[in-house]
Amino acid sequence: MGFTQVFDYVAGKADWFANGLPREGKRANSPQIGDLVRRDVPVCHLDDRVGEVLQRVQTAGWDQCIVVNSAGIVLGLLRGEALHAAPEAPVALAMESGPTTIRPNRMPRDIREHMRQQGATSVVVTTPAGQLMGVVERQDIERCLAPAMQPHEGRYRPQRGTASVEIGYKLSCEEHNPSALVCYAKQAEDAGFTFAMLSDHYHPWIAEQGQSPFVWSVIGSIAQATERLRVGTGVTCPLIRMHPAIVAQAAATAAALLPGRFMLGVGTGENLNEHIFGDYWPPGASRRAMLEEAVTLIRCLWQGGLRSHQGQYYTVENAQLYTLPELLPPVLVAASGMRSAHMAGRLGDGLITVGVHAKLVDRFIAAGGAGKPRYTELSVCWAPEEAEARRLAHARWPIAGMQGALLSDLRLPSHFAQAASTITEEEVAQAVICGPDPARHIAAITQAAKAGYTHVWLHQIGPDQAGFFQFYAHEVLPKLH
Amino acid sequence: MSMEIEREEVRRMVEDGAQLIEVLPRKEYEAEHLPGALNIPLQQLDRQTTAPLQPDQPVIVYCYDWQ
Repeated sequence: MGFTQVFDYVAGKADWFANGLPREGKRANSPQIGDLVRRDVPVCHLDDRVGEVLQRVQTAGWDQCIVVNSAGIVLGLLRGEALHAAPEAPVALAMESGPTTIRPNRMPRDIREHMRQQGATSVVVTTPAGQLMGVVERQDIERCLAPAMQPHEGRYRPQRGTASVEIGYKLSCEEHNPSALVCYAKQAEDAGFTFAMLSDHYHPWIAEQGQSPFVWSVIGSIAQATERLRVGTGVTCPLIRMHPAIVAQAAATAAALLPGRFMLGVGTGENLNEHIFGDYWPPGASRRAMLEEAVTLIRCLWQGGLRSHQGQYYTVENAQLYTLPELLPPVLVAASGMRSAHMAGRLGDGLITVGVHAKLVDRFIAAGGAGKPRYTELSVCWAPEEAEARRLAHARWPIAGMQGALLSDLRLPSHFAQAASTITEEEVAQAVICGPDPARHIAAITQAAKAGYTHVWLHQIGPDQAGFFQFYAHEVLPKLH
Repeated sequence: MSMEIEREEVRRMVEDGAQLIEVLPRKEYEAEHLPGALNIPLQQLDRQTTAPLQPDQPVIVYCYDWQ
């Protein structure tokens, strides 16, 4: 037909999708089994010794191991009693041969039914050629399909371009004392906000913000003061100042106090908060690797039982969480760049960003985030007059005009104050919706929805939270529904 | 005669302007496909359906897998 250069991608779209690459089409936003695969499952070979394999499996925090050949083709499964008997025996004699495997393009709902019927807790996922991709756990499928992940039926529209999003409120721990935060959580619930996110800092960004309570204590009080409001960390950093095993315990306790209404938002943190023990501040790539290991460890501890972990960054010996919630919270992963968005898609049960970034949403979806919620924070400053709102936003939240490494790498509130001295009121007003015009607030939320976000939470800068609640309850929220 | 290529090569070539063609039936293409791919079902692959393609640019064809 006149073409001189014709190529055949023989592995085809099965291979493309199996590797978490972007897809288009009617089903592109629906989660598939490939999006839920845990790729860090341990593997072993036929001539390995069972005892050695057991040690590796326990260290990695797993309870099974997949037997593969040198090409990665799945041959069998080693788990349960077989993993604990005859440590000197070769894997070939102990394994279950030819386990059930599924392909990554299957729909989670179908697989859940099959697993329920079989009483299976996990299933091996392979490419059409039989090469191991990982395992999918039934709890991940249940979580993906559970109402807790999609609590807004009828309003939840994962497709890009709709204006239906769930609206939340930011409990700004840098600006308000703990009693006020609890009070605002209740007021947010009464005003019609369905969720609230709490920032987790050791220091405020600048001294003028004035506060920085211990977030987990505040969450405990909010649990008692509210009835429906879903509550999340937005975000906490389980890397340096707080060991992930402690965050696992804190989040499990929060989820027990807020049944079905707690979300663990995590990120790679800021030097501002993480430097206080004199630890080295690692570069972004290292912090992303630390976060990946931390989230894996947190999820491992949430499985209950006695757990040990010897990873690249963290060691846990014989740890067991005795307080576990009935419903484990989703782990939402924060992203400010393309690499962290990719990691969030692979690792998280949802995405968190600040501001509107369609490309980050795209990358999150392409990396495995299809069908998962996408949260973003928008800063606003309501005041009766726009000029007053602009002045207040600039005085209280100049970091709205900062970007990139400044935010993550400066060490002290005084350093942020120095950096902020170069930022103009106009620059802050570009990033913050200032003033009493509801159309501007609605337009910003609609823009976020069009970029693919499913959840937007508003951060009202400054002390006048009551005025903000009244304005949103009467002039913004009714027009969004 | 076509040459077999792998995923990374597909990504690189598409970035350089190669044309992606999914040869599966339209329904399967509509459900999901590679970003930017066109659909020409195998049975309809002829001079007329390929007329919109650029003859001087590489063409990459694919289906679900090799089976």
